[in-house]
Amino acid sequence: MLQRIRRCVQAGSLLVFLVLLVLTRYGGTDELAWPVRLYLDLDPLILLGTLLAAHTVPAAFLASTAMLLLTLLLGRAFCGWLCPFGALNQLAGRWRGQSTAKGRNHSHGGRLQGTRYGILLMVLAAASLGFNALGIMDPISLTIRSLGLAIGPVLEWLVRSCFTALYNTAFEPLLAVSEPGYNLLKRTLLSFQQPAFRGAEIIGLIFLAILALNLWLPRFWCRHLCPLGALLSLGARMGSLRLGARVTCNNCGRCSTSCPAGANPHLAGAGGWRPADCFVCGNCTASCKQSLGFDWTWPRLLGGKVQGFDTGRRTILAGTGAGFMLAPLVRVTNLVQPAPPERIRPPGSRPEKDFLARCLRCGECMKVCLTNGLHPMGLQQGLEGLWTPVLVPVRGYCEFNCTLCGQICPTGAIRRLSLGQKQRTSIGTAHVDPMRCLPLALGRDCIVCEEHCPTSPKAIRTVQVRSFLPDGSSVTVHRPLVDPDLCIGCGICEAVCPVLDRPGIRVSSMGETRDPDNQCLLSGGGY
Amino acid sequence: MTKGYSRRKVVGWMGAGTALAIGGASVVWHGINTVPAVSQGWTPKFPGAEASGGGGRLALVRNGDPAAMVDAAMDALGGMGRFVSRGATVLVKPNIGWDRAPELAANTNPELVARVVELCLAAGAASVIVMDRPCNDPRRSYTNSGIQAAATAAGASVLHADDERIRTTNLAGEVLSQWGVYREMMDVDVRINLPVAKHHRLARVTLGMKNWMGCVSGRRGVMHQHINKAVVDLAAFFRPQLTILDAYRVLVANGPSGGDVADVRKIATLCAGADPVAVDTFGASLFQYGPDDISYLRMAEERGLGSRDLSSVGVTELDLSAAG
Repeated sequence: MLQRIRRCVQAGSLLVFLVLLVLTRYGGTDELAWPVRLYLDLDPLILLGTLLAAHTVPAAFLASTAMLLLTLLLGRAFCGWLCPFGALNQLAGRWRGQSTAKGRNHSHGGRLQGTRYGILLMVLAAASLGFNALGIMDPISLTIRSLGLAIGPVLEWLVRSCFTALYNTAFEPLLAVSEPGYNLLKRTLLSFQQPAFRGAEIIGLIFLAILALNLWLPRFWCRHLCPLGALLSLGARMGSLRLGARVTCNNCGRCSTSCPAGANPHLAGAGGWRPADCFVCGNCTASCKQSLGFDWTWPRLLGGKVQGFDTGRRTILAGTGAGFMLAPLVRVTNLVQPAPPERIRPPGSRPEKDFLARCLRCGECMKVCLTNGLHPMGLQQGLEGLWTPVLVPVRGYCEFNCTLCGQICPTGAIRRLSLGQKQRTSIGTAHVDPMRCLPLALGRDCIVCEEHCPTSPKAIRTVQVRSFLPDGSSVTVHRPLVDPDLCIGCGICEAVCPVLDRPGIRVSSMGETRDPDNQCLLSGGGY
Repeated sequence: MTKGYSRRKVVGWMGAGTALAIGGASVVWHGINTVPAVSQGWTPKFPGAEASGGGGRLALVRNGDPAAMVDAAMDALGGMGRFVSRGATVLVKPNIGWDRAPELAANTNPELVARVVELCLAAGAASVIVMDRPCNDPRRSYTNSGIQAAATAAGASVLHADDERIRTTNLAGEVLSQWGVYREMMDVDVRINLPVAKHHRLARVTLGMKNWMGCVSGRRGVMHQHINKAVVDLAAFFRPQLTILDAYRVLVANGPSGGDVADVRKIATLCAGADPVAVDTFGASLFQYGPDDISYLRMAEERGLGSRDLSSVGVTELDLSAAG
């Protein structure tokens, strides 16, 4: 019974998570209409990490303390019932054939299973020195990033390609069916335009590799690696939910074969069941005909038998030490100044140090970006900048009237700006490249950048100047000039420049409002 | 293992199955990735093309709200029924280029769009499509311009341009040849151009003929290299049966995107007619440009798309404030 209810809740939770992920997009209003980052807000690991790294508590995360307190009551029920990544791992584990499952030892994995405590300590230690690595390992952040930036776009691409292939057959009876279906999908599941994120294949491969570990051992990630699971274990080991066995137990072992967590339910009678590992999934009680059942006691906060850690001093020391080493190690790369010119942060981003301390690399801002202009950064800024958002203007510009990325950022790495503030916030400056700009380099008129410039008055103006055609004759053309006081670095000029691969006008982070050092002009106030 | 299923056989079947799957996937993949380069033999419907390109007076209306002015203009031109026959499919092509509110005059007035849709449906149109390919985010532009809400309420189907649903078409112009054209914009019986009069740095003014840039896909920015020829090429291909120029609010500087109400003049004017060159010639006069000041007007007249001589075309002028 418990198992059936759990399966329904688990499927429902995964569905809610996926729907919220799909709804992470412009929905026809300036404000996001849905609580799309609900799962991030309920994640106590993110609360703790942001507290350590940025010394701040985003208000929305206070609800996540309830998740921690719940573990005293329900153990790691989150892992078994609500976690979307747990559900995906469970589904992946089902691909294992039954024959191999029988031969496998499902009991507790010993100290190896305590690796998750080491990982937890590592990300928290790194966070305490300002390197926010926990978003890379946190299962909610990891799932949003992987599905939103890699797996989702792949599925969408396949769907779109199939419908377009049908469309290209130009066979009318077929189109009469396929096109309405395609339009329905476009209004619901699909994005407005095919999303694509630079470097997302690495994110997708890591995600698939973690899921593939389930073929070796079901829910390998959840048992061995998950730092959020480790955090929840801390409360669960003292939790009031207890698995008990009556004397009728005949030691058949079915319970432990069915256990995905290595929680040793077969030892429940002897007090060997491990609440810190148990997902409260109910597989064991469902598999047991006569003996097993969950009971309630008082939480063992003050006394009583509490499960020890399935880990040793070495794991604890190694994890903490690794975290303390990691932070300065990745920071050293960033001591090299100046910043890479392509590091154009979304409008409202805090100063770089604070930004890196808060950014989870969850990818929500990239998913919600109207123009697909925000992309996960590669290694241009070292490991510390990995998967943080940067604007890539040749892929998509920052829409003048849009403030979605600031609305969605769960930790305030991108501050929520009013539209007026956003339109005055510079994220960089455009520079004309006279060697590539069509009027200057080739004597052809253009003004596409001026035409699109959204500020008023326009930051890009044109003046008529003499230029030369390739044959040497002179012509009068409109030459673009950028006013650095007006330019906010939105990048629409670069996005629409007819010179495609390396446009004739390009934005770099120089002049960004958030950094008084990233300026090249002497005049006070901005650039 | 059941009798008759030897290991050898099963392995053989699995091998054959895998080979089939891989081969099949390769064929399907090829099909998916093969886009017909040019749809040769596909000719757009142009049943009414001869209605355009000269003839017919202009109706010039002043000092009313957009809906009242277009009502008066269509009465003067003999009613919408002259252009839209019963059962016709109609494209109404406003300018929805920018993510700007109506007060900023970067897009066609939404009340005007809605009224034109209503007039088409009242004349018996089977369906009215309203669409454009904006420069800013299409969803934001459709919403912020007010056109999506107004046109939908008026009964139009408001569609987004889909770059996977284009027909690569030979525009057969002087500078424009192979361009992707949105299918929905071509497969209609009647095209009504609904531009807004705006300042433009390169072409000086953007009016009706330049509005057809919203009907082609791809990197249309390159058209600016020969802007006047490109505008005339587009006008020669997308011949509308009717052009209704919105000059209710006019953007006089920082065009075509604008963004400041200080650059907007509310002159409450509307000009309609079957002759696209004559309508644009009048539109240019709003910016104090004569018929010879705008190159594409002269070139369009030379290509036989219409007349720059407003006195020979004939203008019916109406002032709604005088009418009470």
